[in-house]
Amino acid sequence: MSTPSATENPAENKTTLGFWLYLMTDCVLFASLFAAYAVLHNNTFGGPSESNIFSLPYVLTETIILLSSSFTAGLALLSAYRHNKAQTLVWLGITFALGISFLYMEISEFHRMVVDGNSWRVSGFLSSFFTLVGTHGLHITAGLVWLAALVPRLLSRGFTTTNLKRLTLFSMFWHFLDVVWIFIFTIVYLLGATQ
Amino acid sequence: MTQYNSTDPKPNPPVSLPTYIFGFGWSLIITICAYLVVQIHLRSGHTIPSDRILLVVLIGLALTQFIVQAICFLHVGGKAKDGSKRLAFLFMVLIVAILVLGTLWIMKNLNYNMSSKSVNTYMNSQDGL
Repeated sequence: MSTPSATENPAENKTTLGFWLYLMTDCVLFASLFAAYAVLHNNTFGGPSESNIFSLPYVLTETIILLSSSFTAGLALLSAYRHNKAQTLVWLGITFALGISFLYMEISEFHRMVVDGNSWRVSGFLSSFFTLVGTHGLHITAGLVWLAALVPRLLSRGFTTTNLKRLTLFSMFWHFLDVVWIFIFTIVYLLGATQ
Repeated sequence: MTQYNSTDPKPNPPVSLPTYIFGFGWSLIITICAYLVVQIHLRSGHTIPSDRILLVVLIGLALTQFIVQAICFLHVGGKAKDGSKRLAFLFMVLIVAILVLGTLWIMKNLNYNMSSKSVNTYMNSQDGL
């Protein structure tokens, strides 16, 4: 891999475009999971449906947490481009805290559903629900692991072009996850509560 | 691996602070509006707004927030330099549109014969439920 020059802008290079292309394919993946959910969400097999299971205030809290973490990730990136180490680490820390709060809330919701007997094995609706929302949750988990891995490098090597590029890619990934959540929030939870 | 010197020129960030704040603020407003519309719909016994209008409003709000976040957070579109990025984004939108609209079309076609609820009722009656 060629060594980038110190003045090369991390936001405008091949790696960034390549990662963007990956994100676009991930959007298509989620679209297909949404399609499966649309087909199956009424197949409750006599069990409870969306309006019985979802708690809107709970999900609104999750949504605002994730949206805020997307915002703070952007602030972290801005601080990094300004080479402000302390600010960057603070914003990354807040992003991580918000992200893990979201994940905790989501896993708690899944746990409650399984304990209540509404696991993914029970019906087509629940299978498609857990697949769609669970895949998003897996992406969140991977993002948090990635973020945790970025911090030691930042601490030891500072704002090299490579580190800035990695941070740029991470923030793109994190923003993308919030974009997907917009549709999960709307289609699964908001529309589900009205069924 | 490049060495980091504090005298290195700072690169231009892809997005500016006012853009982030604008995007965050509007996303928050849109999210809460969507939530409130659903709550009003539920409290009024599924009448205000009607199911049809609710669907249109919610999808509209979701798409608006999507565009806001794509422009403000993901920095899609604008500069000529991001041509490849914008093209890839538009192609993704095309593929997703085919997926979504195609799915809805197929579902509508199948619904002509039997809805999922009817299938459920039929299956339950067969199982003696």
